[in-house]
Amino acid sequence: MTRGIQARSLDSGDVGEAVATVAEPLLDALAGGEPSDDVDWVADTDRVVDADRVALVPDVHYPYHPSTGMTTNPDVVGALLSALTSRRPGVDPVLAVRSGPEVDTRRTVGYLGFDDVANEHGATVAVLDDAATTDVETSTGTRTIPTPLADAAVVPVPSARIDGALPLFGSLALLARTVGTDPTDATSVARVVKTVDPVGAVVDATYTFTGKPARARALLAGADVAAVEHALARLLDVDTGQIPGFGGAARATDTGERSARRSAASSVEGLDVDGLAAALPDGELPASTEPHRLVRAGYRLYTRVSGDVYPPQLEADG
Amino acid sequence: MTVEPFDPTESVRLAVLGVGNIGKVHVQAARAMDDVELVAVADAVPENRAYANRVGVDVVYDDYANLLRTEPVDAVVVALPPFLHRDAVEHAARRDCHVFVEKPLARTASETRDLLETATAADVLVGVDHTLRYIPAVRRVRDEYATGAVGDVPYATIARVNYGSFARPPAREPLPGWHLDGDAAGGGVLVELGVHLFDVLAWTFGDLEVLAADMDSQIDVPVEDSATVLLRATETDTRVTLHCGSYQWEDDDEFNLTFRLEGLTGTLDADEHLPDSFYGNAAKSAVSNVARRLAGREPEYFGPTYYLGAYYAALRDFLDAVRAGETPPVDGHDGLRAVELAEAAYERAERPRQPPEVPR
Repeated sequence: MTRGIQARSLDSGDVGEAVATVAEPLLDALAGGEPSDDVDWVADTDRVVDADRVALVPDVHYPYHPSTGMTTNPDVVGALLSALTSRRPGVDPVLAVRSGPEVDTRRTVGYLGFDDVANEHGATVAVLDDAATTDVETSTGTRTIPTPLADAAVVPVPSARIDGALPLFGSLALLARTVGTDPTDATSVARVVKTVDPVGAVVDATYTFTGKPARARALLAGADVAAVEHALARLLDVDTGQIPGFGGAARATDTGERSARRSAASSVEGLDVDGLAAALPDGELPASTEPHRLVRAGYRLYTRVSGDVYPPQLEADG
Repeated sequence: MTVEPFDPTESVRLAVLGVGNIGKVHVQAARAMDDVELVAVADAVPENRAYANRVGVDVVYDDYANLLRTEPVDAVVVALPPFLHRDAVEHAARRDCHVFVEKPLARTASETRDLLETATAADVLVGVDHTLRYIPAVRRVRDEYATGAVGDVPYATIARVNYGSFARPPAREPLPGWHLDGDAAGGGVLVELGVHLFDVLAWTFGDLEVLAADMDSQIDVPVEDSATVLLRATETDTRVTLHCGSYQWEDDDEFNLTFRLEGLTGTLDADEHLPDSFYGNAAKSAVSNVARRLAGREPEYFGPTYYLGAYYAALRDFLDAVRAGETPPVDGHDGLRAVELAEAAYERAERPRQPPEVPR
């Protein structure tokens, strides 16, 4: 399997062609059923992945339109499924999904059109909120993960975005949240990544969100998930040291491996990552709409002085 | 319709049915009115009943029918989901209660007519919370137009866009259910926001006819989240484009409203009358209200929020009409007209369901 990162700008051609190109080495490997032994994460498990089953993990945390850059574009996932199933007709593709606590995952998946994408390409939608789990033996004990991720070759397909609690919400955070783990907890994230042992990653940067959306028209893909995460960090101008679990999940003990990863990240083929990074908006996630306690206190004082009434929208519990 | 006026010395005994997002505003507005006794509220959601208790309403019910059977009330605010409006009005009418109903008055024109027949038969007054009329910037444009300030108006635009029941990031609150259920709500954004716009247009120009309409959804929700309607005002021959959408991220200090009249001698634009800064307006309003208090005058309720003041004003107008025994300024026929126009727009439009399309 090719170790480097493929990237693609969508300046020309459609998304299907771009996805097929950018993810070609990964797709070829998946189609050929190669074992996932060429990844840079420490595969902390002896589990045997069913090569016929591939689980794509899109970012569906809330039903934000993909043009906001806040969720994975279903067109990208559809193109991945199309390319995968055309290479290997017998493959059993799965979309493994979990939304945030604010919305039922089934609603999000339906609203974003992933049900239609799955139907079109013969994929199964596995909602992980209530999925069966499988115990996976690792060197540090038994880990429990949702079965749809335990018995498949897993490919996270994150969007390229910042997050309220994280400087970027890439493959690591996406896998952690999808498994049901706190994506801000470095130890948990590293443990999840080692257990799930993703075989590659495809970053949907057709739109990005870095304080504002941007039509970035880019895709990043590779079998080296650490390198893809590194490249995404570069695109969003984030130090990988700020990514919870990055250091713990990567095989960082070997200087040679680290150099290789850095080399891969710095030589993304097909995309001027730094040029695109410079063109992206520089900002943060909007502040919470939850009013600050000082605002509430000030408003209550005002109502006492003026005789005005207190707006229910300023109540702490909505 | 006129009914028996109130004794000026007596309070109006009021109940609020439904203490969700807007019902809470009605509770607070009613509590601020000296001539209103907020007798009780009803809500099926425990958290909403707890809110009512917290702000000083001691009598709460989980079933509005039970409240109406039990409590002596003169008028009710119906702030329930639209699929319950007709039923709630029927229960209120049986108790001779006047009703102030959130928009849409009902889900369909047929259901609205049933509701109004019930109210008329019981001699109860019907008001509708078409709040947009009470937004100062809207009222100003309408009033200036009425004076002939720009002559005839061949063309007007009106639009309101928000994020509906969704929350822009970071989302914190659970996504509600019934707003996106066409059966419960009566439709999508056209009955959520569009009816307000129809009401403002009819209030400004008189009768309207729908010439064309188109609906769409940006994501695959069960109801439309955008609607665009071309109308003609039959009395003034004004062409109007109307757009409403529930697809745009919105902050608490934003109010995305367009109301613009292109007249023969100039333009009237609500944007010129909206606050440049909601925070600046809040500070200015707060200072003004403190000064009013010092002068012994009532505050302009919800003044710092800008748009919530419209809810107070609308309820105040309705209750004044009830006290006087007169037809409310925004009555059931206004509500019916808005629902009929929405229905006409739906009939004009054919909206196939589409998965999200992301332009590249």
